[in-house]
Amino acid sequence: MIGPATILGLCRDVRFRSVGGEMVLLSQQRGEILVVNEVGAHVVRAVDGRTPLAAVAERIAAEYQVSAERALADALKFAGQLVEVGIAEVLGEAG
Amino acid sequence: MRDRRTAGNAATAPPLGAKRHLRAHRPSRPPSQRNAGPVARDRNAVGAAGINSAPALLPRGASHLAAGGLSQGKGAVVHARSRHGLLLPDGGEGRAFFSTFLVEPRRFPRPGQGRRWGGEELSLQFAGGPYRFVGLEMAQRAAATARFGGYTDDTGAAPAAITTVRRIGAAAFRPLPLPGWVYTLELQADPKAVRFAGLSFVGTLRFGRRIRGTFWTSLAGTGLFLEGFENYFRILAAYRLAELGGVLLHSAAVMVDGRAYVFFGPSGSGKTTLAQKARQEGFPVLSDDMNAIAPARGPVVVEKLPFAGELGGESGPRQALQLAGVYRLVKGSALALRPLGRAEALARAAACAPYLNADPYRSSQLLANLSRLLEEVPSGVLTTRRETPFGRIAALLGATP
Repeated sequence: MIGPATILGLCRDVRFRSVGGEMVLLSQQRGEILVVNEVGAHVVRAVDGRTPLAAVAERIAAEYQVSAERALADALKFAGQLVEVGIAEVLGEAG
Repeated sequence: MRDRRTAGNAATAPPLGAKRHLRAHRPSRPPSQRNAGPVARDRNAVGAAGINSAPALLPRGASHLAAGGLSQGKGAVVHARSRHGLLLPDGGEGRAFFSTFLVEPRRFPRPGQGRRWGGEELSLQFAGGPYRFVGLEMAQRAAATARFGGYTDDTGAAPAAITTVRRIGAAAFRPLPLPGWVYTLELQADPKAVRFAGLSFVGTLRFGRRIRGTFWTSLAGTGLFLEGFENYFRILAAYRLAELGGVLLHSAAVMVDGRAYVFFGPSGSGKTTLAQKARQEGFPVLSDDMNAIAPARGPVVVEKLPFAGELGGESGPRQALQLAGVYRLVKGSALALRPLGRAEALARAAACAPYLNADPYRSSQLLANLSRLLEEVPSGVLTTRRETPFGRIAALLGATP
């Protein structure tokens, strides 16, 4: 279950490149290539194996001037998508 | 991702079992050639069809989130890509690497293992070359020369890659008598080398000041020798082009007014149809299958490869042509051209760049190369009908025949 305290890391088979604010992600294991928009790219860059999603959401809220609640909800949902498509994996829970 | 087994002709598809690396597709070669022998090509290993949604490249700003940019799943566009060469420690699904083709995959030959077939040599020149082959037996050289003779290099120039051709016993390979079907090669990479296997051959490329390769085959210039040789060559060319900042792109390329227009897409996207139309209308075709795109001192160039697909072959321009544009090809009900975002262009093109896109040690290089190349030229999504004359396409792209 992915929640605010969840810490994600990028899967080791994933390679990415930022292009014009967006990001191209290549998943070797799944044999898939994804494009994420600028906000998605922000989240992916924050998936560093140390930062809980709550903190990622705080950064998004500050960067894009949206409410903390909305940023957290979106970040959690997007994090779930990243896990689902094999880009990120759950490493643990903070604290 | 769709079940790959449905991509072929279900009525005649061979039993696949659980071997997801081995995929059968209806051969795209003309009927007259379909039983000429199995072809282990990358063409079916790639597929850039969108899976989840249409591209949703949202504008910058807080409205992303207010509009549910992430939460409504618009943050990602997923593109299908190669399932071949899954570069996992065990090959995936608990299978050993190379178990599709090799009876004992753990006994993949080491560099230097196996006797040379003979003392013949052959040097071929095209994008990234010269490519030198040593250790060939006479019949092997004759077969390779018959296929690639137009590219023979007699200049004595220092080779960019040297491949030694060595023997491997036929008993090393699983019997896969499926003439006319297309296989997916198996690849495994590490920081210094890439290893791969196909029908009746295995190969290794080791990277250093120049690429040193080994091509192990059980065949003395007959049967599937040439198919294996060509497949080895494709992989070699892909990696050599990547070293040079270029890319081997699964694409059709047509010359218009001295420049090359490249149309990429997975099998079935209409590359061959477009190329046929172009040729019928008098436009030279470089290839309907694979093209080399590489940086040059001036503009980015496209170069014809010896493995030119169903069209191209020995005909068509040999010289490097200035790249005029790169277009993703889509079948549709009407001719149309729409913009292609930079990130989507990169993703779609990477999906059509075989081998490197499945190599975790070099796919970053592929993305970097492609990104640079795509910045240099126009790109877009070209929707065409089968009946669309190429002249109309050229006019839409702004080309002046």
